[in-house]
Amino acid sequence: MLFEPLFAPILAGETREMSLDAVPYFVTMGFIAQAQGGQLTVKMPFKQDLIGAPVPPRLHGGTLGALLETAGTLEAMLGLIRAGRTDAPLPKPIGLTVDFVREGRSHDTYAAATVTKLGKRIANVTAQAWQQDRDTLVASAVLHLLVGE
Amino acid sequence: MTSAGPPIEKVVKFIPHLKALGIRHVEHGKGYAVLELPYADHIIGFPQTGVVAGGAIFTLMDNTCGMAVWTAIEGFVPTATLDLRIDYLKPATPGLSVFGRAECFKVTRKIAFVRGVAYHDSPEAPIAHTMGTFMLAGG
Repeated sequence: MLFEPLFAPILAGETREMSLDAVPYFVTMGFIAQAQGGQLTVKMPFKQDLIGAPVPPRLHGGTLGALLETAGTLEAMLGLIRAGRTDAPLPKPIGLTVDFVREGRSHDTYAAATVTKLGKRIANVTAQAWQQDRDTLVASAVLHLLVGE
Repeated sequence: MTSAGPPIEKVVKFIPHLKALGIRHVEHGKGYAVLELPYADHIIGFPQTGVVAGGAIFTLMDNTCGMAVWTAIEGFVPTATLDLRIDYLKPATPGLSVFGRAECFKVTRKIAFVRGVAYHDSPEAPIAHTMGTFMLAGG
């Protein structure tokens, strides 16, 4: 499975950062995976390339949607591995609804997701994104992924 | 090329994240806008197949929807996306541009409602479908 090396440190409860450079788009976005206490967080370090409104600098809303979708997809993969379903195909997003809560400022952004239900075919996932304060969300999302035939 | 309302073709060039992804203006008119996401290696989300990342299509549609709002109100009122839903109907075909077309079908004093599709050749054969609401500043 793609990203298999990524998940071992998370499952082992290690604290470390890992690149996601197997996916060119993740490199473009600068996404980094962070493992801590068995949890996965995806970090999007701030850079000029992510700006959607130059004055004052605000993150493009699309970058938040992409970050949430990435966190949700990786969390679904982690759920499959935890469930022993390592032969499952890569989860494919079916749809995503993003709730934009506040502007994304010129800071690093983080996202983490929860698998509400891991079914045979569908995973229901929620994801949250924040910047400096974990409890002050910039956006959240609900997404559905195909996780089986 | 139609150019009703604000000079969106100029604005597109000044948005850093659109430049980063390679998104460009195609056309716009009263109440609608069309942008293009040309196929490129750096937006691939599925390396085994070369399919473009969903996030890049989400960004294309978010931006196209926001610009459709400007064409509907015929001005640059700052807008904030309240929510945006996207349904990925089928994978994009590697090697082909993805076009985003959005239509702002209702504007109130404070809220604009937008829907759109992402496609290769025709909006009748969509890759993705999107629906969003935007808040208008100063309404």
